[in-house]
Amino acid sequence: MTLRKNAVRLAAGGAVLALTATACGGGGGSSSSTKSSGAPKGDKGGTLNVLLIADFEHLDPQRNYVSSALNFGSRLLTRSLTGYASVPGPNGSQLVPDLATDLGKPSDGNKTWTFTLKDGVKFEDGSAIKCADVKYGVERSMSDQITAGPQYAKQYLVGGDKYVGPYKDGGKGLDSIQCTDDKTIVFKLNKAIGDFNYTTSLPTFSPVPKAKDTNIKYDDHPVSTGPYKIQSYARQKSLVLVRNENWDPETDTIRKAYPDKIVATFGLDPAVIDQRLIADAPQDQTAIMLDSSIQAENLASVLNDPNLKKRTAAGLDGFVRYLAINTVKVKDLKVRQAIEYAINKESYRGTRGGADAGDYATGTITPVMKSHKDFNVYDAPPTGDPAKAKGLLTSANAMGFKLKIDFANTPTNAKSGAAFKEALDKAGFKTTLNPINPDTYYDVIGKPKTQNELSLAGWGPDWPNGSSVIPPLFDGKQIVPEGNQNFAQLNDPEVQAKIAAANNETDLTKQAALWGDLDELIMQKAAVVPLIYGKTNQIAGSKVKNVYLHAFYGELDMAALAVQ
Amino acid sequence: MFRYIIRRLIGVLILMVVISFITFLLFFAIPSNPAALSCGKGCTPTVIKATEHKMGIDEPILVQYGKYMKGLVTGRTFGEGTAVNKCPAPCLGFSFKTDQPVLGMITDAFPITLSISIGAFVLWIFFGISTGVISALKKGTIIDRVTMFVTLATVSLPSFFTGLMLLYFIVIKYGLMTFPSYVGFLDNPYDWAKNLLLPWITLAFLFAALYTRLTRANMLETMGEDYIRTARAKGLSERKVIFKHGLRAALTPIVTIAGLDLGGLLGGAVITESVFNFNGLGRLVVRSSTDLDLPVLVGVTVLAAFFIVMLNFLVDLLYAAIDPRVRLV
Repeated sequence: MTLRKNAVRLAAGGAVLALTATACGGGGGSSSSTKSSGAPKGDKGGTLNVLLIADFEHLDPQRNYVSSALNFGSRLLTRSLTGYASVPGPNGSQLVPDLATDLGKPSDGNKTWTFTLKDGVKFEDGSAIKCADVKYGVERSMSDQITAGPQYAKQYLVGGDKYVGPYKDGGKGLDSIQCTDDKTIVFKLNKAIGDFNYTTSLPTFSPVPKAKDTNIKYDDHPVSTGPYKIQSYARQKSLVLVRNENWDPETDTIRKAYPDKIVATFGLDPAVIDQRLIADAPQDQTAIMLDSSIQAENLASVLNDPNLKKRTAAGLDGFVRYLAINTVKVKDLKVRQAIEYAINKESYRGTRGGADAGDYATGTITPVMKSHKDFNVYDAPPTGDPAKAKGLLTSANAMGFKLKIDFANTPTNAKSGAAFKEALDKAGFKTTLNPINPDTYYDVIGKPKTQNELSLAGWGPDWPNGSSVIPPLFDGKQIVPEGNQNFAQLNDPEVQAKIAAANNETDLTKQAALWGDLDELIMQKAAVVPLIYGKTNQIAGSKVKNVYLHAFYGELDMAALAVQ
Repeated sequence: MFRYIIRRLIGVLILMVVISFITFLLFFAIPSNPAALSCGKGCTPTVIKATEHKMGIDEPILVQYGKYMKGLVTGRTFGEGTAVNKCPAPCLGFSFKTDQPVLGMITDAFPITLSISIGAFVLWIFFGISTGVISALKKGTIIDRVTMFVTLATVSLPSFFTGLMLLYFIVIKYGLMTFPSYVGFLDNPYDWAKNLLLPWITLAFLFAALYTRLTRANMLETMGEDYIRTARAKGLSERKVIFKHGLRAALTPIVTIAGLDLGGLLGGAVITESVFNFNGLGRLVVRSSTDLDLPVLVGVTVLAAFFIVMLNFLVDLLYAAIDPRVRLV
């Protein structure tokens, strides 16, 4: 349940974090320092160069599920029913209508959602986008041929779990996606979801014209609905976008579409990307980084140079890194609370690069989300409070409680593990470390039966709402024998009841508050030790304007960038 | 001679089959699952199974290998229902990662690797052999000592260091060139050479030093042979003695190594390609290893092995032409 699947591997394999740490939502926020000039209309034109480590995994909207590709694909090429505002700061995570006229209308106790398509929205060939195209797009996301994308349509739509996709359904389609006319699309859900309109921001809900569907080859040239279309795409080498003359800016409140052309170059070493952007040679003055962040070795020199800092966007990357406490193996609340007090977050952060790695976390919903609530249940210093932890352990009669910590075996995580062990042992626990192959880490800890007392994990939500954090991580109903994501194995009736209530709330402001309350409640139950809210830094060439991290994508906002 | 060539070609074919099978076996010995890797976090076992089915890795290894080999000869069809994709012979399959036809990926990457390798080869052979000969002929002089010192220094420098230094000073710091990016030879020969110059220098820097030392040692040995003394005694000019009798014999072992080196490079100059962002075979194989992209991995491995074996074979044939003492039976 995350678009940031690569980033989760990164959270497991911290050694490569620096390469793609931006692969997640959230940025800006209170800690972001941005050069947000807000390009006027006069900044139209020019070519924006995008320097990337790797080609996008998928630009096929139904397969697009990694944040750099999402930022690029969704903000430039393929529109969905809803999307996110293109503004600096926390308001970037504001849900806004995209192809739809509004944020959708729920009915039937939030089990039916109706969206109406805007007038004048077209594909790149000039044909009008119709309800049937959206229905077809969602249906193809359920095909086993269209792999790697999010599975929400299969999970949420009535009959989705049995549906085989449009290539094998004999033309029947899925009944729970209904077109009452060319403009109106109705989704019948198998449960009440009060914020289904967040889910529809994923490109899973982008239209695809059936006649132009080339199944697995659609990745090479998804038919554009956005301001740009693909002129050429040499996989693993380069991608050139030019203006889509059939995109009407009057129908699009999100995308600014300033540059005339966007050229992406793939396969660059992150150190080379850094050097090129720092050197700011003429050909790189209109260039940006996208799937990398400034490397640790260059960060200090960039931030200490006023001219370079001016071209740098810094902020939260949308991830929370945490230590899940297995509530099945550590049943006693006092023992769990002792863990909360014992952990030395400062030494953990130190193993990952210090203050540049992130801000200390107090919950699992990051500050860039509207659902974030300011609280600090365990008011201990970042170095922890071993005396208080020891006191709690003593009162629980659990001195010497044995803990085994699961972590993906990378050099960085090994250091973090050692830091945890030192802090926990100091508080009276007996800790052992359990390094696991990074490639199989989440498969291993995803089996509740064999998961140990503590597991190091990371999470980036699929949309900027608590519904993409709290239910997947803490809903007891979602505990499964394999592929489990509720690493705390929290199965608490009070939490579940409140999750159901929050899911049912269609007023997004009220719902956000409910998720914030739940985050605090879960902390009171000591199910996780939140460690840090990840941070990232990206730099752009001197002729690039609107350089800010988008609050949700945690990267430079592709919809807003302009060149002089 | 004809029978010898046929026999060797059959050997090459058998070797290719063995290498492709070993690559298959090694791939499945890795504890990771490419379907799970492609699926990511939160992927259910059902989705992983469906992805394994799509990739074809849910079948026994022998069945997969059989289908792979059959595809090479007759072509294959992938996908189900109306999502069918044909892969004409010789079919190397579709990439697990990008769904691109592997043959196309290889034919895209090969000209880049070929351009880097051939250009660097010419440079290092020219500079390596000429400095080696001069050094041998000027043995013990200041020229010899300086040459040997320089070659010792350059042979100690890894190509990633040389490449990054060239990039830093020539492109980034002094802006003498733009950042290299591959241009096809047929598109613009001048730009092709201009963009390849730094990768050529990087590779040649390393290899030329080796060849200088090798040529020097062989020349010194050859020039001390009896037949050289005989040639001089016959009154042949020193030029003829050196180039016709000395260098020709000294080149035989160098040709062997040059063939293997070139063959190895044609399989991908991984570091040089990475430093200069050239998407040749080397980067392709590294990427496919990281992504557990079996079809690409097998395709490039077999191709790389093919080059090494074929160049080795060509070297054997060249022996006779270079060294009259060697004759094929």
